[in-house]
Amino acid sequence: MAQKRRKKGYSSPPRPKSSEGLDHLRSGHFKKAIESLKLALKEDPQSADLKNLLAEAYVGRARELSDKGMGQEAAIMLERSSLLTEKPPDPVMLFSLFLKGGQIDRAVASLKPQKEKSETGESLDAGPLGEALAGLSLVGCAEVLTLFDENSPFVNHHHTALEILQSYDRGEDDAALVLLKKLPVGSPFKNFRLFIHALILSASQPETALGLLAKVGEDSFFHPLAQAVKLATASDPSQIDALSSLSSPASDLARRLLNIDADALRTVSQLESLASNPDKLAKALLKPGLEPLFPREVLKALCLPLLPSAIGQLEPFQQRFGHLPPWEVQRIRALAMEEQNRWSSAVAEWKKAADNVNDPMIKALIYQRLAGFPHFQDSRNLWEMFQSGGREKNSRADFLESSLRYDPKDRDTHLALIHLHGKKKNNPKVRTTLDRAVREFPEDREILEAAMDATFAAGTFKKAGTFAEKILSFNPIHHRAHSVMVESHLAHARKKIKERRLDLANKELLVAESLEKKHARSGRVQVCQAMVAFLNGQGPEGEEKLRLARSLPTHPLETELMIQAEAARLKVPSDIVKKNELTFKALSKNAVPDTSSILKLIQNIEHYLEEKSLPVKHWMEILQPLFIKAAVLTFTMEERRLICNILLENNFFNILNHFAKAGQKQWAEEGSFIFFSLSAQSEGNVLAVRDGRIGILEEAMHSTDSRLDTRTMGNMEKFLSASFLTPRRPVFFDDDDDDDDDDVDFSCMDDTDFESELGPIVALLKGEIESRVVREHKLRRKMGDKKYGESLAKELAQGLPMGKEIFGEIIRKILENNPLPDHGTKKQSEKSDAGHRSPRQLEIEFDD
Amino acid sequence: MTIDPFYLLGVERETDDESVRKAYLEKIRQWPPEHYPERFQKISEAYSLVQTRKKRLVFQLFHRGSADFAPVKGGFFSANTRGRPTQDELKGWLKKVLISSGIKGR
Repeated sequence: MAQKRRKKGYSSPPRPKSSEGLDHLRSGHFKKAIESLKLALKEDPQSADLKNLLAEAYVGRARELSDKGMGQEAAIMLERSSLLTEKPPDPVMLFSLFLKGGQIDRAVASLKPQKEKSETGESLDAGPLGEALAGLSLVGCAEVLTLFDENSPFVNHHHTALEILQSYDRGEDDAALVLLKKLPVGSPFKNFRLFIHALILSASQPETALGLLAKVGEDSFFHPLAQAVKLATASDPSQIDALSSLSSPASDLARRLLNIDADALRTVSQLESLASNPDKLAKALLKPGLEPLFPREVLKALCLPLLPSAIGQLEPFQQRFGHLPPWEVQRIRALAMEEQNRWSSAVAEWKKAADNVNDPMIKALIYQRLAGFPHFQDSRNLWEMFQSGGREKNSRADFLESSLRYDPKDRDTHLALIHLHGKKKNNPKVRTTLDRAVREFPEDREILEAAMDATFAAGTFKKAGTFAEKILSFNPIHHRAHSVMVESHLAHARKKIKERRLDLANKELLVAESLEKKHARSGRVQVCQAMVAFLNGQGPEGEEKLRLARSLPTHPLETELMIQAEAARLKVPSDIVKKNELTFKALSKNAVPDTSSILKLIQNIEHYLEEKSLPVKHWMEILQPLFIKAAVLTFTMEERRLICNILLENNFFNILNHFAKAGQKQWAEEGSFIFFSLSAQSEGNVLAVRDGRIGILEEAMHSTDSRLDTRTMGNMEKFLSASFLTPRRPVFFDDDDDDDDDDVDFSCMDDTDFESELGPIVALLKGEIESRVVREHKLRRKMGDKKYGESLAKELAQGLPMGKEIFGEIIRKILENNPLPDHGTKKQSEKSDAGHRSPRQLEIEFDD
Repeated sequence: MTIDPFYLLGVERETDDESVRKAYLEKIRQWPPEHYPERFQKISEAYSLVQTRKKRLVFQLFHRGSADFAPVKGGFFSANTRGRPTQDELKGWLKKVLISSGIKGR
C-alpha cells in the first residue's frame, strides 16, 4: 500500500533541457540534441557551453545529412554551427558537403579562404581533396583552376589529363599512353592515370589492366569506376551478378564496356530465378518473345538440358527447334524416367536409344550406364518390367557384355566384369572374361590382380598362380601374389598327394615352403609335408613336421583343426592320423576359449564348410562344448553377429542359441539377436515360429541397429520370406546375377534357388493372387479335384506375361507354404493365437 | 549452376583430344593458378570432364541439369563486342561519383 502511494505520489523533477540535449548528443541523436539545446539556449542565451554543444550537434547533424546524400542541408547545418562558434567552418568539410549536395560552385567557393591562406594553393592538391579537385577539373569545373596558380603542377597536370582524354577519345591509345607518363606518382591525377591506363589495356592486356586497377586506392573517387573496369576485364561470366552490386555510375560504365543490353540482363536474371523449376524455365525459354534478345541456337542450348526434368516440354521444343534424332529423344526420355526412378522404362528407352544410334562408343556408354543402375526397390517397377517383356537380359553382366561388344577395349568394363563374375565361385564365365581382359591388357596390373583374385576365389589355383607370377615380375614384394603362389603350389601338391604321386607332391611343397615368408607361415605346408611323410611310412619325419607346424604362432586348436582338415582332404587313412584326432579331441575339451581364437576358429570352420567332403559337422560336435563355453565371452556386437550368421547359415542351431541368448543379454534392445534366437529355436524354419512371434521378429527387424551388416539383414529377409508372410525385397538387378539363361529349369531347383529366382516375382504377385489361389484351392479340394494345383495354374497363367511353367511353380510354391488348416487345427489355432494372427491369415481361415 | 566445360575451355562439342588439350593449356596460361586459383580450378575441372572423347560423350549423353546461362552471360563479356565509352561518358560518370561520394570522413 505504501509502495502504491509512493508510486502514485512520485514525480521526478523536470530534467533541464541542457542535460537532455547533452544526453542526446552523446548517444548520437543529433536532431533531438539540437531541439533540446536550442530550448536550453533560449533559457540561457549567454551560455558559451550551450553554444558549443549546439554547434557540435549541428556538425553531427551535418555529417548525418551528408551521409544521406543531403549535402545542401548538411552545409546549412555546418554554417549554423560556425555562426554559433563565430569561427569559419572547416572549408574541406564544407566543400565535401556542398559537393554531396550537388552544389559544385559553392563547394569550390568554400575553398577560397583556404587558397588565400596558402597563396599558392599547394595545400589543396594533396590527398582526397586534391583528387576531388582534379576530378572536378576534369568534369569541366573551371572554377577549380582558379584555386591554383597558372603555373602550378596541378594546372599542368590538368592540361595533360585533358589531352590524354582527348587522345583516348580519338582512339589514339599510343599517344594517350605516352602522355600518361607525364603524370607523376605524386600527382592528384595519379588514380586517373591508373584508371585510364587500365581502361586502354583492358581488352588487349587484361592481366596488366587488372594489375593497374588493383592499385587504385579504396578511398579514391576512381575506385568504383575501377571496379567496373575490373569486372569487365576479368571476363568471368559468373561475376555478372556483381554488376548489380556496383553503384549506379560504375554499373553504367561496366554495362557500357560489356555492351550489355539492360533488358537482356534483366531477362537473364528473371530466367535464372526459375532455375529451381526446370519445367517453368523450359516453358519460359520456349516463349517466342525471347528471340530478339537471344539467338535461336542459344535458346536451344539453354533448353535442351532441361528436357529430362521437363519432359512435357519435349514436344513444344521439337515444334520450335525442329525434330531431334530418334535416339536423342529416347535419351531424353530415358533420363526423365531415371529421374522418376522408373528404372525399367529407363532401361527400355536406353535400349531403344542404343539401337538407333550409330556411334558404337555411344552404344557402349549407354550399356555401361545401364550396368550401373541401382537395384529395383519396389514392385511397381518390377511390374513395369514384366509389362515391357518379361524376363529380358537385364543383369549387370549382360549390360557390361553388351558394352564390350561395342567398345572391346574399355578397360573399366573389363575390370567391372571380372569383379562381377569373380564374386561367384565355380563360375564358368570367369575364364572367358579373364582371358579376354588379359588378352586386351596383358600388362595391366589392376586387371592382373583382379584376374588373380577371381581365379583364386574360383579355386583355379594354377591359373591364379600364373597371374600371381606375372604380378610378381612387376612387383616382387606383392604380398597377395606371394600368398597366391604358395596356395597354387599347395593346391598342386594336394592333387599329387591324392594321386599318391608323393615325390612330385614333395617337390611342390618344397617350392611352396621356399615361397612362404618365415614370419607369415600358417603351417599348412608343414602339415601337408607331414601327411606325405606319413603316407611314405616315415612316421618320425611326419611327427617332426607336425611339431614344426604346432610350434608356429597360431592357436593350437586352429593347428589341430588344420591337421584334421588336411588329413581328411588328402584321404590319409584314419589309422595313421588317429593319434592326432585324439589330440584334437583332448585339446578342444580342455582349451580355455578366448574371443580371438573362437573368431578365428569359426571363420576356419566356415571356410572348411565350403568343401563338402570334409567332416565339419563331426568336428563341430567335438568343438560344441568349447563353443558353448565361449558363448558368454565378451565379443563386440559385430563379432557376435558374424559368429551367429555363420552358425545360422550352417544350421548349428544349438550353439547359435547360446550365442544369440548371450547377445540378447548383452544388448537387450538389439533386434538382430532376437532374430538369431528365434531362428535357433525354430531351427531355421519360420513356419515353426508362432504368428505372434513373427510380429516380434518383424519389430526386431525395424528396431535393429541401423549399422546392421548386409549379411544379417539378408539372413533375416531370407528367413522371413520363406513363408511368404512378409514382403520380400525384390532383387531383380542382382549384382551376382550372371546367369543369362532365360529358360530356367525350375524342376531341378532346391528351395534356395527357387526363391532367388522367383522371389521378386512372388513378392510382386502374391498380394494379388495369393488369396485367390488359396480360395480356389479350398473350393476345388471340396469338389474333389485332385489336380487342382495344375489346373489352377493353367487357368491363372492365361494372359500373364511370363511362362506358364514359371507361374505354375509360383502357385505350387504358395500352396506348399500355405497348408490348409484342418478343422481341429483351426480351432486350436483360434484358441491359442487369436490375438496374434495377421489379417491375411484370418481371411484365409474364415473364408470357408 | 555448373558452367558448361566446353564453353569454359572455348572448344566445340565435336572436337578432338588435341584441341581440348591445347585449349586447356591456353586457358591455364591465361589464368595461372598462382594468381587465379579459383578460375584455374574451374578450368581444370572442366578439362577433366572433356579430356577424352569418351568423357566428352559421357558429358553430352548423361549430363542434365538446369539451363546453363554462362554462355549467354559470356556473350555479354565477349571481347569482340566490347564497348568503349567516350570521354564525355567517362566525365559524366566521374561527376556522378564525385557528387555521390564527397570526401570520405568529412
